Amino acid sequence: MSQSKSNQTPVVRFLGQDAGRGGPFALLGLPHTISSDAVINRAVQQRLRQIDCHPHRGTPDASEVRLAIHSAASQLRDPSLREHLMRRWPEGTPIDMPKAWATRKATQKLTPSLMRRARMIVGSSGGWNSTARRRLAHLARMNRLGALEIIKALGGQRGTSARQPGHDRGGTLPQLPLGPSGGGGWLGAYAILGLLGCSLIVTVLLRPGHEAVPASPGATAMTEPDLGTTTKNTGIPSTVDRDRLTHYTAIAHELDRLVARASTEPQAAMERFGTVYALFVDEWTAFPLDALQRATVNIAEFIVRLEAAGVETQRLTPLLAAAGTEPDREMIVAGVIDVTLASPQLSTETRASLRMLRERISSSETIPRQQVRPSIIAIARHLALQHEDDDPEWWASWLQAVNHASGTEQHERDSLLIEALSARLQDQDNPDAQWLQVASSLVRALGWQSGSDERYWLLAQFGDAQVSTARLAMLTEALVSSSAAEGVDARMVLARDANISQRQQLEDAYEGAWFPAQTATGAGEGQGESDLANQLRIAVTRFDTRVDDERALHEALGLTAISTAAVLYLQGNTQHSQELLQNPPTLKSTDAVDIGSQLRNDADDRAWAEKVANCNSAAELRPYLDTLLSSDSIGINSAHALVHLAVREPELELRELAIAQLTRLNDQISVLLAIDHALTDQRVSSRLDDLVTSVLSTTLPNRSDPAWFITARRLLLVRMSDSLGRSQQPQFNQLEHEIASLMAMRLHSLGFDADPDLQGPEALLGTLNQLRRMTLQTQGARYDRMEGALGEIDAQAIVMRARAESTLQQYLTELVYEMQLRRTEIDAVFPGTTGVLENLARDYNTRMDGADSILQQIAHTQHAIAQLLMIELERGGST
Amino acid sequence: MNSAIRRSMYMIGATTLVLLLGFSSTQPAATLDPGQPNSYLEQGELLLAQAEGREETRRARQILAMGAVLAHRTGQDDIAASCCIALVDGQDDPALISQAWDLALMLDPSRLAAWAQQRNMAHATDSSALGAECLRLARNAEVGDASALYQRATVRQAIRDAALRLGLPVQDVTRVIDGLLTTTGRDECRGRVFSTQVHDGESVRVLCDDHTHPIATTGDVESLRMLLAIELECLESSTGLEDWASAWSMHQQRPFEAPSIEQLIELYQIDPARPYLVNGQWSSTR
Repeated sequence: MSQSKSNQTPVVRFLGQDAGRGGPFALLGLPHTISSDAVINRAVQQRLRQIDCHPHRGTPDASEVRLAIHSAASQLRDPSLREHLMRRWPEGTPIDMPKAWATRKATQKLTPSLMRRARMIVGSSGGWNSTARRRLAHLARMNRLGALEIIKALGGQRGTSARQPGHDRGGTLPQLPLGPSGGGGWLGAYAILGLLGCSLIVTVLLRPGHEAVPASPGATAMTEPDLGTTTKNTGIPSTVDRDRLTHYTAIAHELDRLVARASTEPQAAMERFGTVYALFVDEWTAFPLDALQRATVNIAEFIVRLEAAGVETQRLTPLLAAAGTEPDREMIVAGVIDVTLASPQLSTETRASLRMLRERISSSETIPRQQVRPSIIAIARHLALQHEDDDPEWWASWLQAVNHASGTEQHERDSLLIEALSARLQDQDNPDAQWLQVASSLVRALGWQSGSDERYWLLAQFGDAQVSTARLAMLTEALVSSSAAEGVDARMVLARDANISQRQQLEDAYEGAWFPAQTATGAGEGQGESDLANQLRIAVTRFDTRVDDERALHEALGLTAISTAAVLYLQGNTQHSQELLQNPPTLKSTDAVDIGSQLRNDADDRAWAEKVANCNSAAELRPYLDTLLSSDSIGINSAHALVHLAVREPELELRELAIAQLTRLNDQISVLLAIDHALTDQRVSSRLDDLVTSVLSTTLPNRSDPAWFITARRLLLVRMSDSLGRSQQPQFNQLEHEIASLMAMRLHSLGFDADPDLQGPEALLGTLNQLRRMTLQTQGARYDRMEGALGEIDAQAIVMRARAESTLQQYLTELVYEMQLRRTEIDAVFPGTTGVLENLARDYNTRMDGADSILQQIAHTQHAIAQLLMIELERGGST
Repeated sequence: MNSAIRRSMYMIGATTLVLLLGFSSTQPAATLDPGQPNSYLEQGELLLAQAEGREETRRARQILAMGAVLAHRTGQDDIAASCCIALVDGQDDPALISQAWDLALMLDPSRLAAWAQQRNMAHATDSSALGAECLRLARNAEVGDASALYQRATVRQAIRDAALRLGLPVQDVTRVIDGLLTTTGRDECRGRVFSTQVHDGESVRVLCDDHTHPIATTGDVESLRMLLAIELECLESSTGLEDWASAWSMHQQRPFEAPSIEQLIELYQIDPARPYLVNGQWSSTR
């Protein structure tokens, strides 16, 4: 070997000794005679492929060699320069030449005796045939010669002998074989390969393809729907992938150069840009992510420089348009525009024009960004949620783009795939084989490993009434047949006409297979945390994006309970956390009280009322009141009668008896309505004042004060609301009390006293938030990082507290504040969570936008808090 | 000669006057720059101060709202907050005043002191209180007094506004009230529940039969709940509801949200994609 490995130049290391002999011909493996640029291009592709096959293909040295190859090709394409280079540099050895044909350094002279033997071999073999070639190759090996030298010499001697007329030695001697690309049998072999290749190309071309990309800068933006399909095939063998991979460096190189040319020769640069940009849009999934970002930044800079060079907006904007409806094209074109829009030097007019173009290209939200990858991901998410059919090609293109753009962010990719599956599962149209194909490809792309999000997600689909049974059935079929999921078998495929009960059974089967029940006895702390994390995850995943009030009522309690268990665990109170997990609070079903019966014209009620209204003394009244003692309710007419006595009758004892009964029944809607009826804003009698203050057990302004009336009105309205609420919505008060108990538990764990019977959940949570907020200020450097965000959160909480009218609204305000505090802390304390937190925030905003009531908002906010607690648990500790 | 000079002087004076008038009706189109949201604040404040009619006021507020949105989108929240506060000038709707101040505080927390001083969330006006009283009288069969109040447009508007804030269908509310105020004309008890009849020379109180449902009710629980909720809202007494069940039963279940800058877009009917004011119309280009 001429060089040790450590002393080898990068060219030799990647391309071999022959390539390192110097000069562009050797570098590309080309002879001096080059028939066309196509030969040069082919040689470039072959050399680049060689580099891609090398283990060190990703190193800077490899990039340097690639650039050298392109540079050599550029030189050889210039005919006049090639003439000059031919005089200076040796020929190259063809890349695909067999080793036996390669020239050896240690070459001995071709002696006449050797040549005689070679001629005899050819003659005795019956001419130039395979036998002659084999025997000549053996002769060459024996003499440490290259077979080519012998054949060259034979051919040269033929030429020489031709000058001697009549002296033809050895008949027809072969032309110098052109290697694998030509000659004799080789030609036949390559002809067959060529035919196969042509038929493949024709097959590909005959499939509907996308429109030609407009190359001229004047091309209009994409305005018409394109009926083409993607030209990308995810199933294409790796050789094509290598071709695509090798090509990106050339595109990137061109974009680099175009940025420089934009200022000096804008017109020419714009023309060239059209071609290069079209290639970029076609090949962007071959770019490594850092190269993709660089290329996108270059495109943005190109536009900015063109504008600075005086190019008008109406000529600039169409440069970034690219036809085609494939999702990967939409992602990259819209992403490029987003990055371009983030350029501060862009004029307002160009910015507006680009926004309009962006809106025509994609219906996803336009958000100027410095980085292209987040744009692509956001657009991918939007497409997955908006796309309404099961076209396998569309989804293959989408999947390929997502796989590429997500890079190493597996969680992000899985999240997108899950969102796509969720959206398609909710399509109520009858699915066909196309959906099975799409589901299979998406299912294959997920890992389905233990503890993965997709396992929890699938469980949630069985119980979601909006999920189409037929589609879910095909999904399970794909899961069983196409995925790497463990623990599933053919019995776990849902029937396409399954009912709710069957779906539930299959859900249980999956849960049993993937989440085997943990035993309570002997569970150590690690086991406890595992149970908690598991239950938290199930609770979070099972909670749908859209819920009704009935579901929200139960989920709000469930999520609060599991979150409280998590908080207690993080505070070190493992025992109470476990107890809460094992005995979570539930809402008892309670029938609403029929208060309508109190408010109707009932015969017994009327009769009693008329008798009571005609009582003139306490002695007359007492027997009627005795009949009332056994009842906890009173009809409206009877209430009117007692109020009449309390206000109108002159006898004190009679009035006091009536007031006493009314006070005993002061939570009844009938009593409150009757008293409300007796109110007047005119002169208020002392009797009326006594009645109201006694029944409401409150102090009112002086009865001569005009405020007496409005105060009494307000109090009565509140009491009436309480009465109606207790009767008709008893579960709400249960919920309120249970949540207050859970808040009190958290305060006790921190060493504070709290009585849920005296304070509502909003007050208790408000105290917890105050404590948390105060604690943050003791965190030193971490607090500095949080300070800006905390200022905004505090301001929002102040506003919301001022706006909150009911205790429900006050509780939601505190819940949102807790969520925002936790989110800010996690972002500051745990590195690498920013992306996850952004995803959670996005999900939360979607849920809140779709909430129809404050109860649903409470449930969704608690859901978000549970997700944040999961992060804290996974990261191994409290913030 | 003198007349010619005089005529020329008149012409010059008239021209100058026209020019001055032209300057005084300031054309904001040339000075509004989306890249400079402060221009919207300055022009908006100026126009609002000079506005004489509803249209001019509306246009001035649109400019301020546009400035707030553009400033927020470019991260200049202090200017956005100032635009929100400027919107308060001349505003008499308490809900809009509080919304503007709340937005300003959320955009720029340093405005806390001013917010605490200036913000006023009061919905209750005389009309609101009368609206509540109108409903109470209607429930209690005092048809005459209730009708007299209901005939006032401000009272009807107050009831409608309360219903809208609660998310209740206004037509249902109107139907219930109309039903309560429509009577056969007979009411022997005159709303007092009991009337007096003489039997065998003795006065006896009996329940009045001239009502289709007991006095103080509305005939069904749902309409009663609806009217009570509106009365509560008119009197701003929702804060007294301590139970969640009470709040839920009083139609306090609507979603509760923080104010956002996007609300300005809807409220003032502006489009950030059209930030230029050209010949009185919003446009995407100068």
